[in-house]
Amino acid sequence: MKHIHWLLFTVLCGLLLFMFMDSLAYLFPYHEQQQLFLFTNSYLEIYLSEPGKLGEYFANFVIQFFYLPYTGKIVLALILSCLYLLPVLTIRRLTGKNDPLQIALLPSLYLFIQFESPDFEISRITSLFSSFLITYLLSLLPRKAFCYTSIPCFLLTGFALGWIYPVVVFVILLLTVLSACMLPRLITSPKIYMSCTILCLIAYASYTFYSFVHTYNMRERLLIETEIHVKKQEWEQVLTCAKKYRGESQLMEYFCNMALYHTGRMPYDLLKYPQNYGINSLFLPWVSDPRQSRYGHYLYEQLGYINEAQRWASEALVVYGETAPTILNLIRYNIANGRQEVAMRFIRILKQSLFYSKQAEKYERLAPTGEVPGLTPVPQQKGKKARFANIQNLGPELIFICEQDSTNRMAFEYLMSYLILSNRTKQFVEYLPRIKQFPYPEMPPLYQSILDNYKQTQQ
Amino acid sequence: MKLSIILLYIMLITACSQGKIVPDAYMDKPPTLFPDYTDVTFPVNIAPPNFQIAEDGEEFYAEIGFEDKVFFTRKNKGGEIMIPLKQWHKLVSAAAGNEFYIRISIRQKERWMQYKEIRNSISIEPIDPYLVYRLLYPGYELWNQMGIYQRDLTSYEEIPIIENRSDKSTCMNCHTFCQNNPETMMIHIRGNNGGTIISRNGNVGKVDVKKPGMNNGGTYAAWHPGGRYIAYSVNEIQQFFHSTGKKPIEVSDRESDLVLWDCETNRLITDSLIYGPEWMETFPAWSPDGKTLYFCRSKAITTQTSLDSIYYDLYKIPFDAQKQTFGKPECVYEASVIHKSISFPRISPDGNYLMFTCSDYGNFSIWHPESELYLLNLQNGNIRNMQEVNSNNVESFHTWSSSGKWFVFSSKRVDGLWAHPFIASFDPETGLAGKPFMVPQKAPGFYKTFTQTFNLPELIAIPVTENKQSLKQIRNKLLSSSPN
Repeated sequence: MKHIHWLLFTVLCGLLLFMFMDSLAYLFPYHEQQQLFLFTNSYLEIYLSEPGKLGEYFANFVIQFFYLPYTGKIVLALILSCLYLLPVLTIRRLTGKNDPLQIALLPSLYLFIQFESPDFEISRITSLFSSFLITYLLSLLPRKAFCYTSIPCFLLTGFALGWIYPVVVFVILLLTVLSACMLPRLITSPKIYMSCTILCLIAYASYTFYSFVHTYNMRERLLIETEIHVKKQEWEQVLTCAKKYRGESQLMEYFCNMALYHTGRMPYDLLKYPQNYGINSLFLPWVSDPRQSRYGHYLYEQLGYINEAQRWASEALVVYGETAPTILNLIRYNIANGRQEVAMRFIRILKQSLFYSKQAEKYERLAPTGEVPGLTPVPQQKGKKARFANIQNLGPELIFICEQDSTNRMAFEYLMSYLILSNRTKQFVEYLPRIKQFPYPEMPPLYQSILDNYKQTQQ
Repeated sequence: MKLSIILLYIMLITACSQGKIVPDAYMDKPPTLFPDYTDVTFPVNIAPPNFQIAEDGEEFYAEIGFEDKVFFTRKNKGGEIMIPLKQWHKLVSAAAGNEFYIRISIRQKERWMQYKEIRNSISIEPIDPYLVYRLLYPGYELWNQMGIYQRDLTSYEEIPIIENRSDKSTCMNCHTFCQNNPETMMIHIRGNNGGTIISRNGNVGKVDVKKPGMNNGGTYAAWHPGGRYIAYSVNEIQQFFHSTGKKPIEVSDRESDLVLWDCETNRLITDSLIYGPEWMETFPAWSPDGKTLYFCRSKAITTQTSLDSIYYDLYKIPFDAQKQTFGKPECVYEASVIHKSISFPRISPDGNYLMFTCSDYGNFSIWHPESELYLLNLQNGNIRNMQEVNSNNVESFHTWSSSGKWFVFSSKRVDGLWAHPFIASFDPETGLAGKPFMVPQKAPGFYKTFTQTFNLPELIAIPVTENKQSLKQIRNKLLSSSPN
């Protein structure tokens, strides 16, 4: 009973790690892709320039380790568990007593539930951890030194991390002290004391379980996981996620259609998958929606339509700032587009990070060549009148790409799908002969049935 | 014990001093610096121009001085030379009106190679000490992160005037000052709570520069020198994205006209001479006496007009501030004849020169790599390409300092995407400019990694932040939905 806090800490850490490895694993790459920690003075200065922002700096430092499959999860599980351990150790140092109600568990459990939301700011965990850590370190000082230093440290912590954190620390410590000092006077029987602790732990665990299940968003998880698979070009997994997804989502249908093409099933199975948004299931028309800005580039990149991919990536830069995926995209597109100096500026940024510096060096070597593996830009129009992209409608762009490069199979299949979903049968039949450019074993049944129908209506 | 203290003292002295090096060889060419601070003229009040030595080497040594006196030395392995403010001030005080030198030696294969001496000048003329610009990522339509900032050119301090952090759906643009004085200024706000914030001598209001029947609201602005009127162009702007090729975008007006906002009566004034369907008028600029309004004008376009056939000429129109009437418009420079197009006319404070941006077509010169600065001598009508400041990439927006001895302009010469502010000296006697230099930054490599673009650099003589009450009101108006 004396060392129950170590047992609880170990169990908590283990449970958190299990959840992070399993049900919440998808959140780690998501958070990692939202920011880019740089080892530079100017990056630090951004966070020092305003009171209360240092917690974000610590959070970003921790988040960069989410890049690694296990390290980030272990680090976060430890930090979150320490939110329980540190106040307990502090109180033991100050009063020599244990809290029978284990109130110190509450911040960890609360933040764990909050962590389920992709919009959760991890700086809340790191800032609270920093505040608890500082308090614990202070508690190691002699009593007199603790009294003298605690208030200045309290103020300094509030200034650096935000006022809420030292206040929360104070409240938790106060409640824990009250519980540790008062309850043993009221409860003298060790059995009742023990029962009280166990009852509290059951209550905390039950409520956490209930909240976790209640707030768990499977649709969000599937969307995030799908994007992760799209990035890794794991197309079968994308289709699996699409099948599991309940409800309508334009983004899911957009990814699903991409996967249909890459698995060679687009001309066969297009209508077997939901196309609730019609032609807009194939692409994301530009509607100035900041949240969509980071998804539009995928399709255009795969079509080789680099200028449009670059436009979407630039808008994502405006909305989300310098994140690793956006910078990587801008590097690749600018190299492919012959804008070496622009790519170099993004490469220099990436070189200042821990986990992307090697990729940056790779692109630095590629920059003068103007070629990026996996990117095949649509041939440039030479000597012709300028042509401008239709950012609202994919159809004219697909026709343009097919005309510029008749071997672009993705553009052809997307054009056929576009014409099917928009019920433009006549145009579909007109463009169908282009299929001879590609080695289909036979005419896809979907295409054949539309062709047959068209012929029947013409007779 | 004493010996240890002496040894420690010697070690400390050796560690801190940047001992002079003796070159093993000499090179007859100056080293490449980034930013290029060679053969330039600095104003007497500029912050230290820190730089990187952009040459290969194992160790770098820089020595900066005037005549026989060395004011600063630095030896390091990275090649970044940061001049302490104190030493820089001493050098500037001593060398004002003269040239100073930068001697650079580089250790390559264990031999110190001294490069040809770099010579820069210090002008006794100070520049307006504050530069106001908008910082934003180089996107096209979204505006989730942006702000208007004030940079103290005598130090490196940059402070936000307004930022859209609190309300990400708000775009702010076209900060405009009356004769380099922030006591009379305006800023447009787009999106939620849109409007135009006008600050005049401590009175801050938010207005809608548009009246019923008008298709478009106020866009590009110019304060009348008297501070009562603001000339606006009212533009419908469209963006077009190139399908292929290096050039990403074209921006063009579909229609534009000129109006005047009377700040005292809060009403719009215009005239069929500058407002109508036949022409597109834009980029107003007042002469310093306030009697003439310069602007750019093109024939109105149709949906069939190709963008590269839109040319803007330079026009002027007399204005009577008492009667609020306009005279007859007159063409000053018919650039369309030679298939060129004009934007951003700005007249020097003495009224003798008009600087403008010239590009092959259209008026959104910031996306035209061929756009360059030109100078029109209003006394004799001569027009010349300002080759001494132009590069093979974009030169666009520009502002005169209140003395007319300096100007700042946007250029994309570093890599073609990001606009950076450049300062150049100007001699009103000869009409010649000095070699431009990038606004100094504390970190010498700043411009190599900073991914936001400097938009509309405007020089001001006193800080916007001096009138704290006005600034507070401006920030409040950003979030307020009600006019006035």
